[in-house]
Amino acid sequence: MQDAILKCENLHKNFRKKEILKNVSLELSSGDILGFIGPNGAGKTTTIKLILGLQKIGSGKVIINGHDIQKDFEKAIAKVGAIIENPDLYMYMSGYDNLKLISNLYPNVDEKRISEVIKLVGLENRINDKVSKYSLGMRQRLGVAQAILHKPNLLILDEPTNGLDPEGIKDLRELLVKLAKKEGMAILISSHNLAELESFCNKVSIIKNGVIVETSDLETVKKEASEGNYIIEVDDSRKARMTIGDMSDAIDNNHIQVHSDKENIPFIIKKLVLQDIKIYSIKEDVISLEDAFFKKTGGNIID
Amino acid sequence: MINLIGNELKKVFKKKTIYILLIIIIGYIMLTNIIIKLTDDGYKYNYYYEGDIEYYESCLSDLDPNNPSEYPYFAEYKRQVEVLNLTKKYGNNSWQAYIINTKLPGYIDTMINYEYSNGVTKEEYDKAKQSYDKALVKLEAGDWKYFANQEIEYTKSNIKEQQALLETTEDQATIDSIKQTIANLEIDKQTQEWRLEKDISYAPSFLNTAIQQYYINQTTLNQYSSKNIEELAADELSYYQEALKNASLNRYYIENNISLDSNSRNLFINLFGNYELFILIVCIVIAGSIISEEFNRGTIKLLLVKPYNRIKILFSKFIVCLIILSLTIAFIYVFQLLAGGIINGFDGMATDAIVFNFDTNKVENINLFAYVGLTGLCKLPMYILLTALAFTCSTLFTNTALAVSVPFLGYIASSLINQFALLYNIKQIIYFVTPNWDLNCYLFGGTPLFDGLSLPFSIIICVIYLVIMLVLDCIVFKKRDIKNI
Repeated sequence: MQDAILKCENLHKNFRKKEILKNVSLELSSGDILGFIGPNGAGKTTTIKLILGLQKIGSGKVIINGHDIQKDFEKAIAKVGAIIENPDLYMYMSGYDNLKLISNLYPNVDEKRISEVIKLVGLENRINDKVSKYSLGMRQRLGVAQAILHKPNLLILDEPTNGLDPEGIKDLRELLVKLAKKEGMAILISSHNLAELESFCNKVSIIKNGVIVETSDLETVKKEASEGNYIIEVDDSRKARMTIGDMSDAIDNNHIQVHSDKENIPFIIKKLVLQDIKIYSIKEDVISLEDAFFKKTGGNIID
Repeated sequence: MINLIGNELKKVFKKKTIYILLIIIIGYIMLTNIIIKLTDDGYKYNYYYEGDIEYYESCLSDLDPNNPSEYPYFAEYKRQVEVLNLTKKYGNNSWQAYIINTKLPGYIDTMINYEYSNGVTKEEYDKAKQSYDKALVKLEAGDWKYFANQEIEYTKSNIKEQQALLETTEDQATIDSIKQTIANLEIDKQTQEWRLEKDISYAPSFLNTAIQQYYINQTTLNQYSSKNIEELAADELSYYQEALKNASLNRYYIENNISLDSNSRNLFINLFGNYELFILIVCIVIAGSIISEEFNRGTIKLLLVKPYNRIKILFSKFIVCLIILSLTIAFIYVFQLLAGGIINGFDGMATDAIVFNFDTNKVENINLFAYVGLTGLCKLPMYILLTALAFTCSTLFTNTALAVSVPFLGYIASSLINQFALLYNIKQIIYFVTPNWDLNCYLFGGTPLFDGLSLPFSIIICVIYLVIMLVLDCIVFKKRDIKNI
């Protein structure tokens, strides 16, 4: 396995006496896109701020590209691009001036790179307008532009889909996939909306009340969540349930839900037919990824 | 670090704030110069005002000269009317106005007394009338030297009288008092001789004022002639030094025939007195917002995830404040020079600054431009400390309004604090910044406001305060958690 670009180990953070992060560990390698999911107030932004050195770490470690963020900030942060919360840019300047300012702070970012990035995020036509005249979506794009200007190998985006229309989300998704694949960037995206991320993340971490409750590959989660639920429409659900036994539930008079392996379904059908129960339809009940996660996180209480 | 400073400068100059302040400064300087030009109608006495005569005449008509209780008022108003009528004839900017108002009232009083009451003899009346008529002739003829000579004769005879008196007196206190009177008379004689020698009439002018100022300050100095200067208390010493300085400077103007009446020169030489507030406004507004603004707009996050540690970011911002300070001073210096020259003329700019050096007790010439620069340099500790205060408040409280208002309060309160300490004799004040941050008091051997102050001491105190503020900034800025904005 490749060396991790980002490694968080057992992060703790207290605010006053309240523990807002407990034992948070994350790991990202080149090409990873990690969806960092959790309800509002779960600690997503705080984790990101700890990673970026914006807040003091209570205990634990953040290692970026082999450098400890607390001990060697300048080296650790050198190849990181980020948008935290809203893309806060200098409103009184044009988009181009904003990028020019950022470029001054990194070696090897020239005019050519700036125009390349502008093209990449699709802001060519409005780049000389003042940022105060931009829509939120355009500001998000400019935010992404300033984050990737210096060719970072770790990109951290906090709720980047806020304020974007479906078209914008699609563009952003394509851009991020391209960056991860072509430039080998590791990307961390936080969101409270899993549906937006499921199509392109390859890893997911779920945080709830400051604790990571689940970290896994997206494919595994999907499989787990959608496996083995079937709904059968019958004429008498009570009778059907008695026939099948424990692994079924009556939903109403005409529907039962069966939890079973796929291989087992033909036998169940056979049983029902033999008992002279009429079967109108059978369908696989695919619960959404989101529902699956909500099952796991069990909702969030902000306290 | 250079890149950071460049970026911070760009941010400042991309904002409208600095241009609005610049326009205000330009407007204020232009206005000051224009108002000076419009309101300056040369030197003038203010003996006569329109409507005075009518007022006194109306008062006179109500008074009865035969009523003993009303007579003193009657006599006074009668004399006033006479004097005012004469002044009106020659005008407030004539030399005659001075003579009429200082020499003639005595004669007029005698004449009025003879006419309305019995206290004056015919002989006295004739003498007064004769002198009065002669004076009127001389006024008409424009012969001011007659009055100067008359004054010289008068003082000479007066001195003789006093000297005769001195020989007959034995009481030491009286002798001292007579000696002082003689010294004052000598000064009066000296000024009249200067008038004749340098051709300085009584007409209002810079040199005429110089002569009057010389007389006032030199007679003040005479009061100290019998005292030991070394033993004077601090406040008395400052009176003495002020008188010594003014007497010496005015003497220098008279002897060298120098008239410092160019308006543009006067505004320029007092540049930092006139426009100090505007220098401070620019610096405090910029320094007070440079950190807090980034916090309030959320852009601080953008800045802090760049590969520069926080101390570098903090110092680059402070350095930018200092650059803005020097640019502001340079701008005001050049702009007053040009605007003043264009509006009020460049004449007088070639004349050196003339200062009194207390170390050598001599008048010195210094290049005008260097002198103004020097006074600015001496104010620099105050400007830097107030800028640093705004910067510190901005860092500590991330509140622009607070960061801008606190340094202004400090500036306004500074002289009050000093006066309070002076009044209640609080010696510890010398460890505070306010008596230390304006080094102009040390220029040319000047005496500071409090005992125990010296130039190196003041510089050290200012540096200590600056370092304390900057260290505090570093600690707070480095440890600060960036909260949700």
